[in-house]
Amino acid sequence: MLDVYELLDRRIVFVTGKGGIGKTYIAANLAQLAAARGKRVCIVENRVDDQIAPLFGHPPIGHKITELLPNLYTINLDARENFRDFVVKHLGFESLFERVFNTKIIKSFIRMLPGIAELTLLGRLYHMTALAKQPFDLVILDGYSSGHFLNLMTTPDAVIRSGLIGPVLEETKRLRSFINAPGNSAILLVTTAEPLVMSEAMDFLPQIINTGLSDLKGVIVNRYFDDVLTAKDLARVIQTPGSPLKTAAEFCLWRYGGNRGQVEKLKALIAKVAPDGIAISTLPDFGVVKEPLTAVSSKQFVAELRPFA
Amino acid sequence: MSLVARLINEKKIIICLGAGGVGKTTSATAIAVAAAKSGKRTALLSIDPAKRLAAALNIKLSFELTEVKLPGVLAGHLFATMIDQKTIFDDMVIKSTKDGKIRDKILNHSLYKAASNNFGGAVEYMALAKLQGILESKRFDLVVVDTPPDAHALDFLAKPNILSGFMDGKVMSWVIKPFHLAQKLGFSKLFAAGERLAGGLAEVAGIKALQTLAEFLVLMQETIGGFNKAGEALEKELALKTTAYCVVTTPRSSAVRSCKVIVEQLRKMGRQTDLLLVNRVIKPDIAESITHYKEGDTTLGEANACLRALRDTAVLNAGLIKDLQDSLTLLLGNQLPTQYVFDQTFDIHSSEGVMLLAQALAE
Repeated sequence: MLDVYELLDRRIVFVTGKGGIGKTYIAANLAQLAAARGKRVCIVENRVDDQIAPLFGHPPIGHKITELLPNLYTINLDARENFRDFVVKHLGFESLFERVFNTKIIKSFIRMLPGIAELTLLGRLYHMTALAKQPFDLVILDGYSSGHFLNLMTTPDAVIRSGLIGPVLEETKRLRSFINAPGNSAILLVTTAEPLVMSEAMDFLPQIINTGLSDLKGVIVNRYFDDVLTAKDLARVIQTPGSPLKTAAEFCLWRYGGNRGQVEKLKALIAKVAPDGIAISTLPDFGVVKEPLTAVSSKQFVAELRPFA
Repeated sequence: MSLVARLINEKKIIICLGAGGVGKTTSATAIAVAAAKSGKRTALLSIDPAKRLAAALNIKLSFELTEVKLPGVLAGHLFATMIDQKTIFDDMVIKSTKDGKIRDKILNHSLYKAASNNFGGAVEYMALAKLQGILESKRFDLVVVDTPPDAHALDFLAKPNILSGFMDGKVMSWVIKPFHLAQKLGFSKLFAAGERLAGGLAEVAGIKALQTLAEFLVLMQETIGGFNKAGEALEKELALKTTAYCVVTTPRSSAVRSCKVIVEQLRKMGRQTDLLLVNRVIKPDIAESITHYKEGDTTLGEANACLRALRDTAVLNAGLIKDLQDSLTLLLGNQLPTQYVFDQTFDIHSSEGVMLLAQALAE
């Protein structure tokens, strides 16, 4: 079973997985749990369209640390602002920055030069939890899926190998050490039991482990119903003559059919590639997530998170 | 004639946009299949593809167009290229760099090797260059483009030649010239050369970095030049009426939120959303059936939880669809042409499944 509270004792938690399967909901609930325990938490995203603030009933906030609830903050990092913050705050080159970089150049730079956007993002996370005057106890990064997440995880090593020297290299080594230090950071992989989603997660899982930067602590299978457990009762509904729920039950049979088998496959893969084990937990399909999120949601989250046997 | 069928009939390019997990890749594929079935010579360009879907249709992850053979589709009518980060850069460099020695130097350059998996936003850019190549070849009646699952795709659609800001002589020469000068005059002259950018880089990343970068850019000049030309031509093509923008969504809160943002961004770019495709809509007979669910019905046993989830989903779906339509109508002043696609009860990610979905879309 995923030890959620141990996870939340870390400084940086990366929540990743395919788009549209509930990462944000899970990241938001984890953040609430941490905040409720008195930790100063920031959920970080890096998207064109804010997803976190609206989930808490707040208008979009952009690149500005904003308090949503007591102890719970969020920011939607912008790549250009990150770049500026990295050069100015992190490296300390304010006057240089003002002289040299303008918006058009930054935009092109970030696009063309490998890893700049990723490096400055990691730099921001490190800064927020370790170097800032008022550091956060926990920073949760939401919204990086598959390919982009792997890029993020491999960027520090790529920069270290690329022949850069000077402040950027030193800073990269420092942040790599921090992220890599035991207990400092963790990765949570989210998936569903749908074949397409699960096959991507299984493709992705060994690659995450191979990046060697942070610990893959757990996999959460979202929107999960144990089809083996529910099959008999659904079949009964279907076979009951004149049951108005017949069509709905048939659909459930189809939708959740094969769920358990898919997670068994995942379990077998983990046994192969991670001999120390990675906790697999499941969350049911809640149908509706009441927005704005409140403490009720995170209580439900903890109550419904089950270990996969 | 369905809205999708009409687009297939009238347009030369169909671009699919939308948040992650809404079924963009699947829909783009089904649209391409439907087009090919109807007799159009069709190309499908997919970025950040679903490997399982690619495997199901026997499409290789390669920069080159490969033929997709499906029952009912005439030979030579459906070609696809599915690009992911690993394949794209190598392929592009190999194709665009005529000089074998230069090509090898690029592929072996330390910066390239360290980072060719990390060229972030360049994937989209490369894909657009590929798109331009496909259009120039004039082999196809219709090109269907599947975009990466975030609105960054729109940045590139707005300005396909965005790299020109960096590469068009000015900035590139700022980096390269002083390096050459510095070699002649000594490194202390680097700042005096008046090239602020180069000086800035050197201070932040070290002289060696500047050297490495300068070398790399010199090598890449030809390749980048090719990208830029493609970008300019493409910008014109994308603004034509024969290019259709199809926004894909599902009735889930986060997808609906992204959908509104994307439609608004398209509007700001001066483009219209030609079609709103709403996937995963619960079929009416299922929606009707689940209204008979009663809370706390103990006879349902273990089936209770999933039936309740279905009931809640059905209610939420209906509400979100209405909310989405109302918001978009408010934003645009008129209703968007919308096609609803039911959540299917067959495996879409198989060749038979894609054929069935194609049929459902283009009836």
